[in-house]
Formats: sequence, C-alpha cells, structure tokens
Amino acid sequence: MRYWAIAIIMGFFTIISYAILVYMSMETLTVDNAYLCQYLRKKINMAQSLPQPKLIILAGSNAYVGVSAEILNQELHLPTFNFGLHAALSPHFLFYLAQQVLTAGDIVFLPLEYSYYNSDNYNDLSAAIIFGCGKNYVLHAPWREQVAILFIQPLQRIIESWFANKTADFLAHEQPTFGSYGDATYNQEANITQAMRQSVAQQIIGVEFQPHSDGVKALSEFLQWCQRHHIQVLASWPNIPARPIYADTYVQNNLAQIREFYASHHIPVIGEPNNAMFDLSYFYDTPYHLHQRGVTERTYRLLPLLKTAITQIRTIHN
Amino acid sequence: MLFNSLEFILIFLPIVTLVFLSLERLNYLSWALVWLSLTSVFFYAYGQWHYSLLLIGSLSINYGLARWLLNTPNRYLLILGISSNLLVLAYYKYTHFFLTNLSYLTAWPLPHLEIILPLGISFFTFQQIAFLVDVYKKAIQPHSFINYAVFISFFPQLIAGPIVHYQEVVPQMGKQRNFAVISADLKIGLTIFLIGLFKKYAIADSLALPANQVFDQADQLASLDTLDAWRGVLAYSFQIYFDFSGYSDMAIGLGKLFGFNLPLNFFSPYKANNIAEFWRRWHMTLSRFLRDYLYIPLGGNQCGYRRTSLNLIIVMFLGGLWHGAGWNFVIWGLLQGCYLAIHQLFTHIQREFAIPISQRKILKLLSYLGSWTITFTAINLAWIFFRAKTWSGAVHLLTTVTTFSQWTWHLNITTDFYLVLALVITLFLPNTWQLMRHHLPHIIPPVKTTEVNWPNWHWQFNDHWATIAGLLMAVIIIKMIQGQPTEFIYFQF
Repeated sequence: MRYWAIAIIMGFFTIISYAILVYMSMETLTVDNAYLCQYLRKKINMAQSLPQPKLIILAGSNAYVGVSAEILNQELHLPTFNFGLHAALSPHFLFYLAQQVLTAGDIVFLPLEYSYYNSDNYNDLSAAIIFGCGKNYVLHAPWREQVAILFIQPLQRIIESWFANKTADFLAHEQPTFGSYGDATYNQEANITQAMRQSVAQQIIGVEFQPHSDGVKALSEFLQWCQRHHIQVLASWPNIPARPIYADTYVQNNLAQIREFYASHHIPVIGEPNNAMFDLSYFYDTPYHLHQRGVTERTYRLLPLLKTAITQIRTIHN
Repeated sequence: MLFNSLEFILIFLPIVTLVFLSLERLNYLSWALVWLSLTSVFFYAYGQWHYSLLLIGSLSINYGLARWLLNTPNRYLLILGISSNLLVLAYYKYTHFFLTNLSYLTAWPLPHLEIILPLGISFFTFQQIAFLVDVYKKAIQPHSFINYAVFISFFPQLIAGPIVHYQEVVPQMGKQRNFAVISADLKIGLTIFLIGLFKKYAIADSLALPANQVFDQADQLASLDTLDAWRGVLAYSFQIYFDFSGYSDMAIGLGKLFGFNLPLNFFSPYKANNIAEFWRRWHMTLSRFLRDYLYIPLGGNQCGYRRTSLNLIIVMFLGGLWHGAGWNFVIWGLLQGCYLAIHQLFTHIQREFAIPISQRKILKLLSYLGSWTITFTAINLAWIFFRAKTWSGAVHLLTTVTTFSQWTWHLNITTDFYLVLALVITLFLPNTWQLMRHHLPHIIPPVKTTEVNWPNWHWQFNDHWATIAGLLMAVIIIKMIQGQPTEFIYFQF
C-alpha cells in the first residue's frame, strides 16, 4: 500500500509541476503560433486605438477575407474595424479577445462561421495560440478551463519554447500584413491558382447547430456579456459558396435553430443565409475566403441591411 | 478494446480482476477460468462483435480436432487441421491482395469485396497450429475445453501476442495463490503494465508524428532533406519498437495480475550486433514459432550452408507475408532473409578459415561498434519497406537516405529530443526484464547476453521506485488528457 500511496502522491505532484511548467513557459512564440499571435496582438492594438463608438466585425477568417471594414467605414460614417481572426480559435478565446477591444456603445457585427455553432473547445492550433499569447486568458478563465488549457499543451511545445529565442529567425518571416482597417490585402484574384480553385470546389461547409456544444455555450455567454456592457450585437451569416445542398431540409432546420437561438437572446439577425452565398468563382483559397472583388460585392450586399439596423439602434438609443 | 483506453483501464480491467480474484480466493478456480474466458470473448467482441463468433468457432473446431488427433494420431488429420486454419487466415488476410495482383496481371476487373481483417487472427491462428502439431507429436495432452479457451482467448495476449505455447500457459491454470502471492503479483503486474503504457504513450506516440510526416511525404514523392528523412526513418524504427514492446510489456503485466507468466517478446533488439541476434531479441515468440514449425521442418541448419541460407530466406519471406498482405512486407521479409543469409555466409567463412577473433579490448570494442552500426543501419533501411505505403515511396525514401544528396544541418528540437530519449532508453538503460528479473523468476530470457547485467538496476518495491512509478503514472495521465488513445501498430497484422 505504501508503494502505491507514494506513487500516487508523486504522480499528483508531477502533474501539478507540469501545469506550473506550462504556465511559466507560456507567452513564448514558437513556429506553430508565431504568425497568429503576432496577428492577434496587432489587431487588438489597432482595434483598441479606434475612437468610440465603433463597429467591430467579429468572426473567424470569413470576416477577415470576406467583409471590407474600409468600405463600411466610409459608407456608414462610423469607425469600423475588421476583427476577423481565425475560425480555429476556441470560441471562448475568440470572445475573450473581442472583450478586450469592446466598450459600451460599440456595435458588433457577428457573421460567425458555422463551425462555431457545433465546435468543441480546443484543437491543437487553438492550444498553440493560447500558449503563445493567451496567458492572461488562462489567468481569468474558470478553473476547469485553466486545467484543460494547461494539460492540453504537449511537452514538444514546451521544449520548443525553451529554444524559441535561439531559433527566432522565423519571426521575421511571420509578420502579418493587413490594411489599416484590419482587412485582408493578400486575396488578389490574380494570385488564384488551379490548386486553390480545386480546394474551394472540393470542400463543403457543414451547417449544424448543437445547442450543448462549447461554441454555442461560449456564444451565449458572450451575448449576455454584451448586453450587460451595453454593446449591441448584430448577428449575420458567413460567406460560403452557394450549393444546392444548403436547400435541404436538414440544413434549413439547423439554420432555423440558429435564428431561434439569436431570437432567444434578443439579437437581430441581419439578412438571410442566401445573401452571404456566392458563386464558386468569387472565392479565393478556401470556401470561407472571398477574393477582393468578392469582398467588395459581399460588403455592398450587406451595406443597406447594416445601414437600416444601425439607424434603428441609433433611433432607440436617442 | 485498447489496453490504453480509459474504458479498459478504468472499467474493464478492475471488474475482471476483482471478480477473478474473488473467485480465486473462494477457491472456485474453474469458475474463475470460465469468467476469464467469457470476459476475454467480450474484450474481443467489443467493437467487432460478429468476429467473436469466428473466434469461438475457430477455437471449438480446433479443440475438437485436437481431441480427435489425440485418439487417432493421423497425419492427414493434422494436415486438414493446419490447412483449414491457414485457409481461414488466407481468406481474411490475403484474398484482396491475391485478387488485386490477379487483376493487375490479367486486366480482369477487380470484384468489390469488403473483407475486414479480424483482430488478432494471425496470432491465434499460429497458436492453434502450434497446438495441433504439439498434440500430434504427443508433446502435450489437451485438458478441458475451458483451459483451452483461456489459452487461446486470454485477453492480454489475444490481439497481438506474445504467441504462447499450450504447455507454457495451461500448467499455470487452476492454482490457488495465497494473499501474499496475489498482492505481489498485483504489484509486479501493474508496474510492468505501467512501463508498457509509458513506452506507448510517452515515446511511441510522440515519435509517430515525425515518422508519419516523412513517410507521407515520401509516398507523395515530395522532395525530402536527407537529415529529415533519416529522422523519419529512425523515428519509425523507435516507434515500432516502443509500440510493440510496450504492448508486450502490458500483456505480460496483465497476465501477472491473473497469476500467469507469459513469455518475453523483446530483449533490447536494437542492442544486437548481428542480424541473427536481432531476431533472437525481436518479437521472440514469433521467431520461436517460425524456427520450430517452419525453419527446423525445412531442414534448419543441418543441410549445408546453401540450404540453410535458402531456408532462412523462405522463412523470412513467409514471416514478411505473415505481417501483411502487401509487396512491401514481402520485400521486407526477403531483405531480412538476405541479411540472415549474408550473416550465415560470414559465420561460415569465419568457421571454415578459422579466422581468429582478437582478444584486445580496443579491437573488440571497435569490432562491436562496427557490427552494431551495420546491423542497426540494415534494420532501419528494411523498415522503410515495412512502413511505406507505396513501392515508389519506399524507393524514394531509400534513395534520399542513402545518397546524402540533399543534406543540410539543422535542428528539429522536438523530434531530436524524442530520438535521443528513445536511443538512450534503448541502448543505455536496462530493458523491462532486466528491471523486473527478480520478480519474474519463471521467465527466462532465451538470449545469452554478455551485456552489463545492471546489478543495481532492478525494480524494488520501495520509496525510490515508487517515486519512479509515480512519474511514469503522471506522464501517462498527461498524455491521456492530451489525446485519444491510438491503436497499436501490430493490431493491423
């Protein structure tokens, strides 16, 4: 008995030590998180420096490479920033980052990717990003989430972080570039290759609403947070290729559930899913990314809807 | 069910062990064996229930045949038994391979077949063939059906060995252990199981990533850096060793919980300094089966040098084919056969010309290092064919690692860390048997070694070793949190 008791105590202390080791090693850029962490930091800094009130476009990369904050800024006469990040980010972390840039009176335009309505909390990329630039997030997360984040980090990442300073050459090549409104600039139509076209054509975005998924729970908490902090949210649909499969009853039922979800939180939903669906020729390298012409088209489709919604918000507030 | 899954560790194993031990303590020894055989069938049926009928049918028919052989020792009956076992194996394992090749040669369209290989079929087929031969030779006498059912279906060794003999396992059945023995067996068994889990989770699964990356790139004929290619090849060599030896340790540990001493399957194979020694240390129970039931019946080494070499090539060719229905396994087996034949040639020349072996320490050391390097390199090169999914991928990788045409020095911190760790554990630390040798007196290593015997490195159930057990446990738990359990490589054979 003494043998197993000592083994269990020792095992427990090793596990605790591992968690401490992970926490101490965090906030270090490694090859797998360098680009996205620098990207997030830059976007947060730029969004925080905007005058109040502002319009924040919040989602994964379907917003980053799908909506033009520059056009909205000019047309709506409202400081607008494209806070489209990465759909692989865990939903809790995405909304935590949004909370860092939002203040009372702001408006959030939320064309979330469909994966957020059924996603689990952590994939490896998300874990790598939190390791590189989410130490504060871990500090403020509920204890269950702290445990999950600390133990999901593999030893490989920690070892890499110890040597990160010595092998930091990669940082120079990992500098994110986007416009002053946070919009993507790389998605030029001329750069599209046959492989990219094939990739877009082959991937089909699934539409599923799972009310008990981490994504929906995190979204629900975020919407409540926004209400408490007097931030208006305007939900919408992500840009995806138009396909006959989206007319199926199964998909339509799931889309209806998403609408009901927002209605239950008193959040207006801008437009219909079809408004955000485009021909394959409008896409850049993934079925969520539009090329520049696609982005302009998408933004001008949105503009009247957003104008009406924002006017209504202003009328209510005045 | 996987040994490294939560449902096995937290539910199946505790329930099976507790009920077995209770029945044993109450002296219901036969019922304890019935319980073990039923739960073993459940273990097998979990996830592929319909194949449990194949297992039950196979062991019932073989037991019936053995009883018949016992009463009427007829050569044709034995041939019928062996060939029916091989036919079942051939149907499930080789039909698709055979038809694909036939279709390739004749341009006939390939019929659509959905034959899923039942888990462990290669292992329990060999075990039953050995059993029939031993019964025919009157080397053993089958006891009750329950004993036989436990011998074949005993879950620790059912899916991927070790391949055990009837006379090794059955005499250990039905012996009541006192409390002190049970307590010691539980401690020993769980510790060995822990070592096996550590090998699988901490090392094999960590090396799988770099190995998969390089072999996938090779299969796509992508350009590879020579150093990275070597990293991938070495990563696979260590991955398969830690995966399979980890599985074998778990099997031995689990066997010990129920009072069974299962035979060793690995004895530091990468320490071998010639290919024959490697095969005496690698998958030892398969090597033993091939030696006893194939190599020796073919004439073994008693018919001259040339015939011995041919026998070795035939045995290893069939050994390769046993691993899987694919030309890559055939090539791997033939390569191993050729290696053994070359080693046989050198041994022959040394004996014929009475070449003296220097007794000077430095020359002996240099000779050892030279032969170890050649052996280890040859084994690694052969693994390329074993692992690659395509012939062109294997050739591409082999060319990259042997031509050194695209060599650039660069660190890959994570992979290098795990490779160094694996190398140190494999070459410079005692193996599981060396660690546990004082607690496994019944298991004798079939390898005569002149290695350091690690006098101070044997597992003792004191505070220091409990600390090490705790460390292993912590690593396993963290790894379990981080990912889904992965299948053992040898499950596919």
